[in-house]
Amino acid sequence: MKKKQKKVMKNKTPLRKLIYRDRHLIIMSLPMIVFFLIFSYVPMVGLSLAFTNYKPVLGITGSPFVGFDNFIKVFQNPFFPRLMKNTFLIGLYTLLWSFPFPILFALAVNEIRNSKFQKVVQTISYMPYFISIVVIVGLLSNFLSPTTGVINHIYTMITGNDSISFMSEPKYFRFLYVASEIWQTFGWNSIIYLAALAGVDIALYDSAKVDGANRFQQMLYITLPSIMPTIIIMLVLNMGKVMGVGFEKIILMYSPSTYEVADVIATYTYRRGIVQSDYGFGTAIGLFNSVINMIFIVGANWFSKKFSDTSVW
Amino acid sequence: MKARKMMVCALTAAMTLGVMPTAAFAEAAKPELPFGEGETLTVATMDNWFATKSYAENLPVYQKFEELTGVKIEWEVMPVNDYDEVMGTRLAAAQNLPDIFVIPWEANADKLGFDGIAMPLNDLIEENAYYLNLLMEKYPEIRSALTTADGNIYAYPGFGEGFITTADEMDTGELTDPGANICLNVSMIRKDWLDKLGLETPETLDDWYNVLTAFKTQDPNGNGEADEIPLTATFNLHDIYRFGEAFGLYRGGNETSRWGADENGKIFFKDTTEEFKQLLEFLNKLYSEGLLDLEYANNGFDKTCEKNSRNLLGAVASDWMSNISTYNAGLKTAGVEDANWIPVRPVKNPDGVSQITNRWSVWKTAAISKDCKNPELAMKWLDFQCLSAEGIKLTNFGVEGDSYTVADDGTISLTEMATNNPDGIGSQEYLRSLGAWGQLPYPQAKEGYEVLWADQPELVEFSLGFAENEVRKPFPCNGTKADLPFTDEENSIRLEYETNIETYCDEMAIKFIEGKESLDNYDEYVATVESYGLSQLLEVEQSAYDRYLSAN
Repeated sequence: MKKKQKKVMKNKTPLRKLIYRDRHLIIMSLPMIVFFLIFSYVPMVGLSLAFTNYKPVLGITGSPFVGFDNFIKVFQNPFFPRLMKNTFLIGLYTLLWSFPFPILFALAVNEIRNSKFQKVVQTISYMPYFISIVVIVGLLSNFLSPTTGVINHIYTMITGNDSISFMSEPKYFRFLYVASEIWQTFGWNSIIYLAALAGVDIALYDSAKVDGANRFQQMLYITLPSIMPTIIIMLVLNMGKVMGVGFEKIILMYSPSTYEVADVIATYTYRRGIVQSDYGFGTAIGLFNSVINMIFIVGANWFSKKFSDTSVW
Repeated sequence: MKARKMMVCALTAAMTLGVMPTAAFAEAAKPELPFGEGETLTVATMDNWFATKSYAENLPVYQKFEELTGVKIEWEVMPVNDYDEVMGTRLAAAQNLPDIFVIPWEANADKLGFDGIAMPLNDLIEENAYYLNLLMEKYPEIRSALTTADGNIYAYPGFGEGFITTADEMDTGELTDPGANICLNVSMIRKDWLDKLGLETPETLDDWYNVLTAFKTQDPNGNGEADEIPLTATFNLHDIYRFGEAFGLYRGGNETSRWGADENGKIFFKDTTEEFKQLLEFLNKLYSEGLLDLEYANNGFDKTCEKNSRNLLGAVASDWMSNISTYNAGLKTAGVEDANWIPVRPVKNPDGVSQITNRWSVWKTAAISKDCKNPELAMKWLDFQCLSAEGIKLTNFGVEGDSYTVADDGTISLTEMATNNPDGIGSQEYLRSLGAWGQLPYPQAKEGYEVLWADQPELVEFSLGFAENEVRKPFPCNGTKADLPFTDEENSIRLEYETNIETYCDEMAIKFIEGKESLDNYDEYVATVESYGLSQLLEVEQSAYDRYLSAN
């Protein structure tokens, strides 16, 4: 094995030539590399805020070093367990429920024969993705309003019960969050699966037909296995977002009456870190969150590598 | 009391000596116009409340300021809702800051100073702010409200009502006490519904309960359905705490104030008191009988307006009187011709007095940044645009000849253009479209509202109807969060405990009101709040309050 590798190494074309050969690819990937350098790697310097008592005028390097003080504050906070639980549950439910939808949708769209109709369906399904979150939450609270909302009018008409204040009932919060998330993103997220579906070799279907497979069997035994690697990679990548529940939508949706299920790490950090400018604490809790995400994504990748031979790296 | 007497003595002494002593107290001389020919200042602020006219367009009011002072303003405007976040981040980065910036609402103004982002202003004010010095001589509490724990001032104040009577007084220097505020924050009710059901305006809690019940059961909107929302909170949960007045638990305005001070200067936390429990009991009764809007805890001005326009709303717990015309107009557009919202005097307290809060304290509004090249000019400009007679007229009435006219006898009145605008916007909106009633510090002069509400004399009359014993000064903590002079160390203690306690208190209050948690468990709730560090927080608030009092 080793020998073989060495041999390959020796035969390798010089780097300069390699660069020249792949110059187009390199130029194409350059913007993304620069993007990640500037917006993801450079800001990591800011992580050191977590270990300082940050004073803006002294700057990141000049602020007094406090070691793990900020982290100790995070763990001693009486709300910490609840924040962790809420963040995890909202992230988990979002993953569980919103992950299968784009796949099912892509499979369904793929079966549509009329290509004009197919395009129309696809375009309509993307649309919600481009609506701003503020508008989505505005729609939600208008439709669900206990006094003026359509949903409650229908509900009271059918059941004869009093209206329900959906937006301020803790028990509906996660459902509303996840459901609106699915509605908004399933079309957009299906694009990658549709792309994968387009790459499936038609010869496979032809031979399956010859073997007498019906359409459902074709889907089950050809389409699904062909896009399995894509599905697994998407799953692994999404695992990394479980604890990364964004605060924009929750900030817009929650109120003190739903804090007990809706207050997540990001919103608490926002209230305390940005609004009350406790930057050290905010960064510490954010860093801790990222570490957990990292563990999730590495774990999922290891798991997938072990059991399915597909992995992100 | 003693301090007040001494102040009165000093004032009368000053009066008898004429206007002269002003010069002896302050070094700053009245600025001669124009004082900054050819100079430029950068100003960062949240954009106009009237969103379609941005300050970046150099609105007429600020064109006038440029003509008067010679100073050209370069605006860095941000949308109102993003300001806290965007400006907060810029201040944290502490680089390339504008000369003058409006302090983000949620930011801790004192900390900006301690951190060296905002410049100390004591000497600058002394030497350049003629008008502010004039005002601080009459009202020393302005100085104590501005002075931080390290003895420095880091912010130029903005003022609610209660300090300026007329603009011209700032010119002559003979200030008179404007007395009661005009635009109060009070409960409001549909007078036309009261009349229809033959009810009186409520005065006590029992009155309120009966009126609200009648609203719910006797179909005042006449559509045959019990769809009325008898009571709501316009902005948030804290609005309905106003009924705590009946139990002696004072709540002011729509600003969160969980802290109060008793007559001995001892600080207490309201959300764990026995009176607060009584308040929750009352609110629980309202909620369980359907008299309180289901959305009381997650409302907003837009939602409230919508419910009102659908002719569903009977009363709001706490709101600014300036919104009355908006509510009435909303109903009239919807076809309710006899719609008539009126302000209601606050519920009587246990002593039988109906009290309102006056002199809405002083806000730490604008700061001069550490990067400012010409702080003297910045201070002069700020002071001129805020408190000079010309400035007050511009910020309160807009541009002479356009939005207002002055009669020969000196009475100011708004023009047809403002009061009956062809684009259908209200007079306050029209003034804002010119740049008046803005975001930079300015005082709401008493005559400002008198002119603005010339067509609603009943509102002015309502406000002036409060006798002296019915008007009280607010606790200094009413405005922005940092109104008490906390030290850096005290601030970090507050950070540690305050978010947790506030989160928990609001959450539990809602559970108590909605009956999801029995009030029998109130003691446990109090114990939990205490375990979250209430005593440490109380200690900190107390020492800051003592500091505030000693600066008076």
